[in-house]
Amino acid sequence: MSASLKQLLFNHDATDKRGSALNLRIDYDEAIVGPEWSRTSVRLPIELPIAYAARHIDPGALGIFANFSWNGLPPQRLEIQAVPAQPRLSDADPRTALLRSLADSWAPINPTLSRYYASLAELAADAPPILGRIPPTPVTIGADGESGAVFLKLNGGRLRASAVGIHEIAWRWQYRTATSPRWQDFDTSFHRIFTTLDLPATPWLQEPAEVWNSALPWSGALELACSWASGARLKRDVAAMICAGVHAMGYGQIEYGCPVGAREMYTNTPMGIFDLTAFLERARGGLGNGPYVNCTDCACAVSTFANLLGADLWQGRMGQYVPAFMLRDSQTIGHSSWGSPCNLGLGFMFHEVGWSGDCEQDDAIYDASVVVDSNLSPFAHLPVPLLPAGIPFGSIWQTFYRRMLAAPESLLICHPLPEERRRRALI
Amino acid sequence: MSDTDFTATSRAQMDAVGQAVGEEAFAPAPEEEISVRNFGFTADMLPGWIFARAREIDTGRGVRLIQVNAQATGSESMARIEILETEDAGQGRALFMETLARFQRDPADLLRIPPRFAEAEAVPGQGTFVFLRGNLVVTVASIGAVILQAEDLAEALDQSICKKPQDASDSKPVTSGRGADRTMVKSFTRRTARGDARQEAFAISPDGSVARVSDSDEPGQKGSE
Repeated sequence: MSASLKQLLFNHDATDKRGSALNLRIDYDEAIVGPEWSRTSVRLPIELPIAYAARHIDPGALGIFANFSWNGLPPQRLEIQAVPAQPRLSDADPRTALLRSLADSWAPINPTLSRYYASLAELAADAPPILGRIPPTPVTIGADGESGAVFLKLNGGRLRASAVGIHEIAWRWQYRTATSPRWQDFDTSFHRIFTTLDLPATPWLQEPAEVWNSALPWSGALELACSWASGARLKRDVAAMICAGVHAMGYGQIEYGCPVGAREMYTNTPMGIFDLTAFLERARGGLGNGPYVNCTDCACAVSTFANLLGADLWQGRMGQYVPAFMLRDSQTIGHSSWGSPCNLGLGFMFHEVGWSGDCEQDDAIYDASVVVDSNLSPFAHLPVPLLPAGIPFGSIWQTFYRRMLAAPESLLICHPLPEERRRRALI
Repeated sequence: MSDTDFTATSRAQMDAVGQAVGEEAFAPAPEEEISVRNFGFTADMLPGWIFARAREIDTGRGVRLIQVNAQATGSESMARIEILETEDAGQGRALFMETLARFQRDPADLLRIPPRFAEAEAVPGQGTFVFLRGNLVVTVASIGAVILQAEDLAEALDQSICKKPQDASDSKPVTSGRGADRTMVKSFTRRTARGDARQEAFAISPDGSVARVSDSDEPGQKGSE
């Protein structure tokens, strides 16, 4: 006589995500159908990705549906629980690895700081599992030996307070009956869980939760976005960390496309689409659409990944097309030299960035494609590089992004184009 | 404005492109016009090049987007080819202009006037080339470790598009049933001095087999009265 776990359904409510995992798909081509964990008798359990929008969770409503079967005569009273077990991958959240590497780096220079990072790494590694344990729950087994779908309540307090991250968890499943009151292990399940801050914003959608809806969040995109923004607890931090992540691809994976005339290579503006499939392939070390990008590609990447985690950015433009606005010296993505883009001295017809709010001058800029010189002093000419990730666009009088990017004679031409803000669909 | 209201190129940008691109950017109408429907890459289209990762997207604007990566045999040269297939030559011309807006530079600096081989050409750099041929807007961009002379590949592709099949069979092409949706149809229209139009059309299957098409055979076309 024994119980066995048949399936677990984390995303059990397609429309209300206060107690349920998000509607996901694998990528543009592949949908996720059915429970996130299931077992048939002939093959290994199927494990699919799971994601929760942390701040949207109602701790009192959080739960999963489980199906069990019982081998033998159905017991009169059966209780089932799941306790946290050792996950297969302990370093899924890159914070731990980062903190450990910081501890190692500082050890010969500053042992105190090294110990501090080491203790943070230990805390991160020993953090309680994101979904905790499943408390003892009565389960009724039918005459056919099946339980049907059983709702198992979870304590969502820790999930609701969590930061962006990737969590590997494991549950050891146990049962007890009236005749055998000691808890007995009967199964172990492993799960990979992404936590975002809030529900995804467009171009991502949560409805309709249909196989054909390619705008449901892609687990491949979550993998990258959650690793870039791991640990972020505020939307502006999410946006800034994503911006830094995209910009960091400039160290070997992508570069401003001078040989291709600074053409958009991952975006197709006339068609209103962003080729996220190719961008993800590039980020994973594949060919994608090649190494070249322009500002539009970077703006799409920043806003798409940030919005996946619950931020609310737009692909916003500045300039007026004719004439082009001239630039102060800057560094384009993938290039270390200071100067005008591609050293052509032509300026920008327009420039596109990740932009918050209404894409007006008081709203924050997240520009992964250009590092600006934040030294606006007329007397010192040493550039002070700044990746614009969360600073306001600013008026022509304020020492913000506009004055760091545009040449003084072009400040009036380099103005926001809020009517052109957009979020391109994903392919 | 909803999130999806504004997806294509803005009016302001198109006005700027319109100011920069005059009639002189386009070659005079060719003696024989070509129109391609259901464009698809076939193995023998560009000898010496291997195609991979072909992807077709229906963008919902009456435009088909066909993307493919091409690699030169025995070389690290790689290119990304994008074909925008429009409904007719007029829409192709408009989309060629819109394609110029995909560069961060002044469209006037990108154009080659007059065009050398195609109906309109943009040369933003050695690694990329855009041209118009009939209802097709074609972009070739270098994406490999070695920067490719995009113009050479673009010209070879244009010649392939314009090539009229010589060994077409008289058997009926596959225009219905399985495989019909992947059959490319090339139509050549020559106008006589009297103003009459003489049309020839060929159906080219993905495997490269060719058949001559009469109007009534064309997929999705009603027969002429």
